[in-house]
Amino acid sequence: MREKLSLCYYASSGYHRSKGIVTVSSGVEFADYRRAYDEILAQLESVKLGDFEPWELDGARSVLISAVRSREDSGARMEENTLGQAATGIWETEEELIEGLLGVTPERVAAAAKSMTLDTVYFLTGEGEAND
Amino acid sequence: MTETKYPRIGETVLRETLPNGLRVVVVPKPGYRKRYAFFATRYGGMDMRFRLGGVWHDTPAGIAHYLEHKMFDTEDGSAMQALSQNGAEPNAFTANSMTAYYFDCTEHFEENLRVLLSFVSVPYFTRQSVEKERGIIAQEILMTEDTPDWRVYKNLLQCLYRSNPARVPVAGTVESIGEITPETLYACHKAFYAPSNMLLCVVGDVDPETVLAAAREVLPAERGEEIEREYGDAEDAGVFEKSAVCPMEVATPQFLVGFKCPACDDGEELFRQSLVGELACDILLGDSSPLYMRLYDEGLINGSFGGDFDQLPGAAYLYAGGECKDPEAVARAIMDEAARLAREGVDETFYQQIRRANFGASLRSLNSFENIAVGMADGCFRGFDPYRFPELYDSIGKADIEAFLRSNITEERRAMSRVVPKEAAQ
Repeated sequence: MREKLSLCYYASSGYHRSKGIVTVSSGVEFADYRRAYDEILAQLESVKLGDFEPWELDGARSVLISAVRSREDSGARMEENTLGQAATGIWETEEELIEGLLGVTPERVAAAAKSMTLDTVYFLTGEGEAND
Repeated sequence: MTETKYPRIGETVLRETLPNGLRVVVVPKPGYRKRYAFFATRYGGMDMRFRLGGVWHDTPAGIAHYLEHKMFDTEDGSAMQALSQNGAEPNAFTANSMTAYYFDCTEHFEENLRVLLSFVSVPYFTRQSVEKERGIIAQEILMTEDTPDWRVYKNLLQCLYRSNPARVPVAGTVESIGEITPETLYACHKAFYAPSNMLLCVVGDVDPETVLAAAREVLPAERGEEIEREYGDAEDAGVFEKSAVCPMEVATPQFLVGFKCPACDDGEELFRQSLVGELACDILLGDSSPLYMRLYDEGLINGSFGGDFDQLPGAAYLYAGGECKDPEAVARAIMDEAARLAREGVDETFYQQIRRANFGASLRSLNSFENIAVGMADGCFRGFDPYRFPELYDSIGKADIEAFLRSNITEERRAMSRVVPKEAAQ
C-alpha cells in the first residue's frame, strides 16, 4: 500500500488474541478509499492462497520470537503479559510459545487466514464527504 | 575504549573516537536480552543552510527527512527487509537537528549492526525511487498538517521566531519537496553522513570490541570535511508575531502560549538549562502546581493541559496549552503566577517535591535503551554528558527557578497560537 501504490504513509495490522480479531489500519486520502480497501482485501487473499515468500514468514517469526525473548527486559511488559495470561487462563511458558512459533508452517498461516471473515470497515471521513 | 563510571546512577559508559572521527559509545547492560544499536548524524530539518568547501549552500525544506526515507534502499534491495529477516525491528526518525537509524534484536546482533552501518553509510538513489518516495512523503506531510496538535505547535514556533529554521516543518511542505533530486540527496549525504559528523551508540549485553571492529571495517576511512551551519539571523528577545489562529475541523478549540527564552550555546550549561527550564515549567504549571489545580477547578483547562521547555540550536522556549475556550484568561493566569513566584519565592517543600519527581523521571529513563541512545547522541552533538544529571541537579536551587520565571515569563516574550473549529471562524 505504501511502497508500490503510494497510498499511505502507514499501514499496519494487529492481532487481538483475547477478542479473536485481526485489524488492519491505514491513513488514506478520502479519494483513495476504494483503492485502499481493494488492496487490503487483495493482500488478505494472497495470504489465504499461501502466496507469500519464505523470508516474509521467517522474518515475522524472528521478530515475534525476539519480542517474547526480550519481554524479561521490561517490568511493564512482564506485568502486562502475566495479566493477559491470568485473564485468559492461558499459561504458556516462554519456551512453549517459542516452540509453537517455530512450528508454524505456510500452510497453517494460509488456513488461519482462510478462517477470517470481514466483519467491520470503519472509515473516518470529514463532514460533507459523500459515503460509499 | 575509555571507561567512565557513574556511581550515583550505577552505570558505566565506554567511549572511543575512531581515526575517521566517528564517536562510538557503548552502554553495557549485562543480563539483558535485547541489544540496541543507534546510528545518528548531526543533521536534521533545521540544517538547510551550511558551508562546505568554502561555499554556502541553501537546500529545500524537508531534505534531511527525504534522505532518511531513501537510506533503506540499497543496491541489493531493502535493508529493512534484510534486518526484519534477522528478527530485528528497524526504524528511523528525522528531528530538528539529528537523523537517526536504529534497530533492536535478541539474535544476530553483529550481523545486523554491520547491515545498519552499511546501508546508512552507502547511499543509493535512482531517479525512479526518489520520484516514488515523493508520493509517500506527501502523504506523511498531509497527515501531519492535518493534526491539530502539530499545527498549533508549528504555528507557535512561527510566531516566536522570525528567522530561526525551527519555524520550518522538518518534513518540509508538498511544494518544497518537489525541488529535491537524486543529485541534491547525494550531495547532502556526502556532507553530513561523514563519520566525523556521526555517532554510533550500542546499548545491551555486547562485546565492545565487536562493535568497534564492525565500525572500523564497514565505515569509510575518510573523516569528511568540517561543516559550518547557519541557523537564521540573530533573533530579538521579543517575539516575531503575537498571535496565530488556524481554523481546522476540530470540535474543541486548543491553544499553546509560548515564551521565548535566550538560547544556549553547546556545552554543559545547555543541559543544565534544560533541567532548570523543565523544573520551572512543572513548578509554574505542572499537574501538581497550585495554578493547575485552580485553573482545572475553575473549568478553564482540562486533563489535556500540559507544558514543556524545549531547546534547539539558536532557540529556547517554554510553552503550555491544551483544549481551552478562554486561552487569554489562562495565559494571563500563567503570567500572574510566574510574577507571584518571582516576587514571593517558590515554596521550598514544593520545590523539593518537583525536583525529586523530575530527578526520578531522569532515573527511570535509564531503563529505556532508546532514551539512553538518544540522550547520548544529543549530548555528543551538543557538547554535554547526559549522565551528569545528578551533579547538575545538585547545582540547581529554587533561586534559579525564580530567576528563570522572572526574566522569561513576560509579555514581551509571549506569543499565542490557537486552533479553532471551522464554524467558529466563520
